[in-house]
Amino acid sequence: VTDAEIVARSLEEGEVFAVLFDRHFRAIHRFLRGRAGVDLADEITSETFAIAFRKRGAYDLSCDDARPWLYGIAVNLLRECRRGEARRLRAYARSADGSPLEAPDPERDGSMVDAALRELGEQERTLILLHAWAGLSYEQLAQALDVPIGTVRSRLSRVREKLRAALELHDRAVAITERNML
Amino acid sequence: VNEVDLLARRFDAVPETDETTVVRARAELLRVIAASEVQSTAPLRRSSARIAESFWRPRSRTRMALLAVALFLLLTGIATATYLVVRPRELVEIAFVRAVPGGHAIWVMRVDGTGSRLLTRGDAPSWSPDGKRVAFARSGPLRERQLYVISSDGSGLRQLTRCDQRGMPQCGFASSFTWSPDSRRIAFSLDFVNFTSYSGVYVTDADGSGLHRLARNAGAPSWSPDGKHIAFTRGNGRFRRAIWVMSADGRHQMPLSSYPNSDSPHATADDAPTWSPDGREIAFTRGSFDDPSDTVWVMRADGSGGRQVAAHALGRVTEFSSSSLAWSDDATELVYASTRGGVYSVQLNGGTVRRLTIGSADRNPAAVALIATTTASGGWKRFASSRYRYSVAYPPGWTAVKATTSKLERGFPLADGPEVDKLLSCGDSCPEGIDVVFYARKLSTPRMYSLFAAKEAGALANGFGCAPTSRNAARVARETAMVFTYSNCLGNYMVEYAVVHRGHGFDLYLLAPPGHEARDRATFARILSTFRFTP
Repeated sequence: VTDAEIVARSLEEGEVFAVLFDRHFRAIHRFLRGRAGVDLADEITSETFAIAFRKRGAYDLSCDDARPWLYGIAVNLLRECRRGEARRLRAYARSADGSPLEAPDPERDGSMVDAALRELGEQERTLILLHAWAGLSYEQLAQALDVPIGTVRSRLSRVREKLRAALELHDRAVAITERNML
Repeated sequence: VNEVDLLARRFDAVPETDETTVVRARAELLRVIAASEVQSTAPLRRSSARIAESFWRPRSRTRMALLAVALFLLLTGIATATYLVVRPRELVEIAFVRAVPGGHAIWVMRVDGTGSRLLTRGDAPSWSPDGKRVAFARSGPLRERQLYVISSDGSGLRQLTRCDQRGMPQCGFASSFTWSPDSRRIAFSLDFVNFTSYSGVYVTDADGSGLHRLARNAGAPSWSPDGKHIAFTRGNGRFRRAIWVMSADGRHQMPLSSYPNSDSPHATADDAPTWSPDGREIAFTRGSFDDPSDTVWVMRADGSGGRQVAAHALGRVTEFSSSSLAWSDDATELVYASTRGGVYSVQLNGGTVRRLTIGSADRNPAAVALIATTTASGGWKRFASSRYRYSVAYPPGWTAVKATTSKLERGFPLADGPEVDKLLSCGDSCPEGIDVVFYARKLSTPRMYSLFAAKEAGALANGFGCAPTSRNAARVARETAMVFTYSNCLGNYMVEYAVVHRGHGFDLYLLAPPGHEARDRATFARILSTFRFTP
């Protein structure tokens, strides 16, 4: 039974929608956890499925795979939260905890990647991570973010370019530091 | 290692979601779902009496004719989404759906692809058994879907369901239209997002009168060939759904298939009940929520003797279709769409499974949404894939003959991208007298592109004396393609189409009438020799 059929059936029997939850909750939760920490992930993922349930009448039944739709809702919520979060952060002038990307631990593996990711804008980060973490194809990215596929292609290649540059810069910086230390 | 791989590795460090979180969130979702049900039952109590008053008016029943019901079929073309529905009886006309700006439109054409005309805006067309009218759906601003009927000459458009209908809680989703054999009434599923207790199988006269609900908590109706019964699906509210049957007046509702795997923790569902043309059996799909692929079952019309006849079937498909199963005219064969890609048939005695469509759409089988049909009188078969863009249509007894063997493995890479099968026949888009439209795929470099396209064109010219009447660049399935149009070429075949193999170029398939294979062997050999694409 495809996702589309589950959504269609849930129009008649609401509880069938839980099957969609069973299929995708873990992946979306983990994605959000990587982006925003576990607390926000709990909150947003739950809200994602509640919203998806309420809006299931508008689901495009020709899309067998519901992931682009769900991730689309999730990243929208994340953006909304971040706006609120940014205001809070400014107000309290301290960093949010539990958010690996926003408050990286320099000792941890992947800090170089995190640093490179921080060079990107919020939208760019969403795009590349939906691709690299959630495994969405170009077409699915276009669906999730509701932009033309051509735009996805060009934006993604630009983001990859930026990332590459940032990573190389970092490499060079490390090399220089090491040389200086020697 | 590229930057995307680095990011993916970074993701490996993100911990897996723990089960407590899942359980908590799942309970929360179920509360949200339950709340929506409560919201929907309250207005029902108030208005159910009124619904009964206004919609249930006993009417005299006309004797049903013993006409078999034509089934839907769906075909997607190249550049536009195209869904075909064969008109029964003379089998001269086909209704199909095209994507147009802002939605879909229903067109009608002759079976040979000529004389296409716009019927009306809408989709999911279903011919009445007498061939005089078409039931179809139109989507509204809230993505609701309403049932309409129109005469096949384009007159007499009538909207049968509306948002503001008395007793209706909100805009509904009408689907799965099934005509009574006497072409007087239409049964269908009507579902409501926030008022699920109103959802169910409804019936209406084709003139718009007498709309009422036949069964609640029901869907996917299928009218029996004798007009006396309607098969439908019903869930038990615990993730299990079975096939039920009722009298055509909604009485005597009883389950036919048992709720499958009732002792299994996994949710299962039967769907797409489809009567055999002789009314003796009902075919249906059986699916599990854990598995995108369904199995095909057949049981006697009294529910006994259920047996699985095929696996890997695609269950109920898109909003454009009514059923993913179709019977052969003599009820010996079932046609179904497969999650492995393509359309298959299975012999009911012997169980021989045959793939009917040719192509290589197996890489993402669940994406293939398609539906097949046979009709009572003519036995035409048409199949299509909405994602992989191939189709085939042929009358009984015709066979597909692979006419070419492309050899492109060596040093001739095609552009990257998903494996795509492309249609060679132009169908509805063919101007009068044109048989073949040829799509050449754009290659990674202009030089290869021209070389490849030139070879294709040359092969047709040498093999058949076909000269293209036009050549244009066009957008085909989101790719830029060179489109060659030929007239009076390969005219003695019903349908010609090409299959593009990634890295292997084109193969050309011709569909030949019975007995013609031998006669045309020489022609095929000629094509074979001219279509070798060794650079």
